[in-house]
Amino acid sequence: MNILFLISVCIRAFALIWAICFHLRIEYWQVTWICGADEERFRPRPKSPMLRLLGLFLVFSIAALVSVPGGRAQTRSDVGSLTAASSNNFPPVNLLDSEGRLTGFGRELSTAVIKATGGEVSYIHSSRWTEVLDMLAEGKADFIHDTGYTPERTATLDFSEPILTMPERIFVLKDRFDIASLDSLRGQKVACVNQHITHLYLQKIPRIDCVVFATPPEGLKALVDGGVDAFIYPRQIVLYYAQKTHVTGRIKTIGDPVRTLTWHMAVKKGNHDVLVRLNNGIAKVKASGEYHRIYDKWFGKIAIEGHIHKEIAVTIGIVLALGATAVGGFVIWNWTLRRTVRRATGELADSERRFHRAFESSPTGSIVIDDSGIIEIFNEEAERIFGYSAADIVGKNVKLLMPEPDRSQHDSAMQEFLDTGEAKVIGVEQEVSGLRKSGETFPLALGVAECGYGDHRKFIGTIRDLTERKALEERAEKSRMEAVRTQELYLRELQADLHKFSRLSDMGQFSASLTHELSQPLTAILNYLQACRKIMGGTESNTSVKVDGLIEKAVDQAKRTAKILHGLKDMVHDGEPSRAIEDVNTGVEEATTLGLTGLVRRDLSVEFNFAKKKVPVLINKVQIQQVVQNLVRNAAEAVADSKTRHLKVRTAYDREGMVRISVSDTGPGLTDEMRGRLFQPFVTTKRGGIGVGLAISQTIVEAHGGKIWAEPNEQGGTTFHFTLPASIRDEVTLDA
Amino acid sequence: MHKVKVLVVDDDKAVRDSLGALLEVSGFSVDSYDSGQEFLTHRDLWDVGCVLLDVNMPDVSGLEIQQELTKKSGAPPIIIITGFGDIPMAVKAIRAGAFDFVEKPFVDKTILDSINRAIDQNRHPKSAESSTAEATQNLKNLTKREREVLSYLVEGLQNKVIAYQLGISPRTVEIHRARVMSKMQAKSLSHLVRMALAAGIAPIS
Repeated sequence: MNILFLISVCIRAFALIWAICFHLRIEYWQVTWICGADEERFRPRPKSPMLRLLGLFLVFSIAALVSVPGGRAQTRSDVGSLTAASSNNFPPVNLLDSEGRLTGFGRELSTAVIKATGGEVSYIHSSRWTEVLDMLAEGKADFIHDTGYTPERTATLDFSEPILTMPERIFVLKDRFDIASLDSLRGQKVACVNQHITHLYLQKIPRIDCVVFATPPEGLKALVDGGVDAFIYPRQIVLYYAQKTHVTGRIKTIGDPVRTLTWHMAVKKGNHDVLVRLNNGIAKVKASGEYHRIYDKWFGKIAIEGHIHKEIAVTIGIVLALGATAVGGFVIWNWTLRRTVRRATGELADSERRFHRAFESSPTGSIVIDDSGIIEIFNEEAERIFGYSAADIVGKNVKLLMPEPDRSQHDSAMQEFLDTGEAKVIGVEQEVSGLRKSGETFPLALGVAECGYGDHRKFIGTIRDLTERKALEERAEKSRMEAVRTQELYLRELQADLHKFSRLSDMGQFSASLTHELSQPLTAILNYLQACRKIMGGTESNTSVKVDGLIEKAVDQAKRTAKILHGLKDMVHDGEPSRAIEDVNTGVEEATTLGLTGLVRRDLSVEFNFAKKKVPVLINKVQIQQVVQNLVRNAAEAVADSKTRHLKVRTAYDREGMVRISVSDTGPGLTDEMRGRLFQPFVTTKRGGIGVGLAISQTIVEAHGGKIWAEPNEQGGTTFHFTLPASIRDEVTLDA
Repeated sequence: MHKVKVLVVDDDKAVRDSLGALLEVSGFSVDSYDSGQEFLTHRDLWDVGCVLLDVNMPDVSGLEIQQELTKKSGAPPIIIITGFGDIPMAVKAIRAGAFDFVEKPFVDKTILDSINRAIDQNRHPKSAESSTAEATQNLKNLTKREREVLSYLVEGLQNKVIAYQLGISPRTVEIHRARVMSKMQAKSLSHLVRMALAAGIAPIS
């Protein structure tokens, strides 16, 4: 905005200056013939408007210095009347009025000049310039009051101070564009006034075809009519006639003035007194302002000296103002620019400071590297994390902060990225290992962003130390594991509880059954005995019931109770029975022998088929032997009525480290229904049996982690199996 | 003197036989059956004063027999004989209309008292109304917590279960229970249950 405005102002200012200068150039030629003695020193064809201006200043300043002393001269021939001679056909300088009297600029000026020296002037005149010269030479006149200066004339004449300056211009018709200077007039017809100084000048220039006319109006007319191509003559005179004949719109001047001519008053060579008097008068007339009045009267609105000063002052003022404006504008522009630059620089510096502060105080470690991996910035947090100070590490390769294998791969990885643009780390936060100054490796989260441009590629790495987080995670993991363990422990306890509960529940069910079983005979006993008491008390004498019969029955029931209790003897245990590594073979053999002891029928055969190696098992020997004893006794009872009474007892390793103990009989076998209920308490097929043996056996076997079941065998009898987990580890101990 | 006929239904021969002996020497005429099925199919009830019914029998349960019996008009009072721990079932039986229950093993006085009351009740049904009025009157003396305990007892729950349900200790339940028995002037649990039901105490469930 600012700059645009200033540029437009500058352009306008220059345009104005150019316009003014162009204008001044024209005006300059209009005014130079007024400017007195110094115009000859003035260069007529300045190269630039500025130089012309400068020249103008010089002209005026020197003129001011020189003209004054000239005006002060006093001579003895100041008084007395003089006769002036002149031509009468050189308007507006000399011409005849309608009554045939001489008038014009020349006459009025010479009157004023002589008057200024305290004398009178009388005039004689002729239309022929040669006659005028003769009048002076013959002494008829004291001076010629206007004559153009030529060096030749100085032979017969002495010239006064100049009274008029006129440029000799080339006039052409307005529609002529082929003529631009004196040179282009060669071979053209040029109008001249006979014996005029211009004519004399042009005659010396070869190839110019001079067409001679007696008077200027004739030359002008010839030009307008097309009789000639150009008319060369003092400008003011031509313009005077052009105005009179109304042809100013049809002609124009071209090129520079051919010459600049000066007009003077002149005396006969050697007439020094008159010359001095004339010079004094001219100086006075110029000084009093009379000159300007007369000039204005005859040459119209052509600027006079005062006006010139004023105009120059105004021009200078304008130029100065414009210059000042331009300079001021430039200064302001410069100042604004400088301020903008300063502000921008300040902002940039601020921004950089802020960036630095942010960078430095960032809670994440931040490192800037260039495209070859050299560290450029290393912030405080990075210092803290890695243990290097920025001063130590800046300028070194970022590889230093990495443990192997990252360290040796970094250069190639980076080069690969720079070559292919395929980022493996850019824009993604990843977990990598860092290497502290202390040599400690630690986990860190690394995010890399690219910044910079072109050949100045840089990378910002942000780093978070994950050591604590890892520790936290590990702790969390640990406590989670602990929780899991606790939970597992709890579950195991729960399972144990459940197991216990289930055993208790079994126990509850068992004791309910037991209670029922016991309460039956007990109830019967009570009933019998109470009946006896009533009979013996005699309240009911007429009864057929015999006391001794009742007592016998009560005894039977009491025996039944005792039997149940006997069967239960080994069943009730408090707490975990003590176990030890035992050899199953030995235990089974003992138990079988024990089981068969005291049986009524001894005529049965027992076949042992034991595993060859010792079979170490962690058991409660008494309980397991009771199971075996139970099974053997059952088997013996089962075969009691059979023709073949044969028992087989064997031990063997079962699948998956179990030891199987089997007892087979050749008895009648079991119905499917019976086999289903075998292990329920108080279910029996035996006369007088109470049905707790197998139930107890099952409890014991399962408590050892084994199973018990029955199946029919090839002999038509039943085989009972039970398994126990083998303790292989302890086999060695036993063998040793 | 005409002997009152008492029926005994029990699957255990010894119990059946001994109970028969006891009742006979106590002046009752006894018919015994070893299963519910046999009893139901073969016996008319017109001359029966009372039925002793073992609740725990393999083929047809005592409760089923009871249900069958009560369908018949003029059904005799039923005394349930239970094993230990069968209290919930006994209470159920009482609610279903049994006169009483007796836990095995029992002393002669307990069973004979129960039989006599059953027979008496059957003969003089009006006394039931007066006993109901009495029970209702007694019920008003119970505290809120005692009524709660009573309703659980009627449910047939054991002391420790009641304690768990009410969030109090089993010992406290025992104390409440004793107070309830005392206030209700109950001679036994079955008596208490019977009175409570008569007075309109509903089981919790």
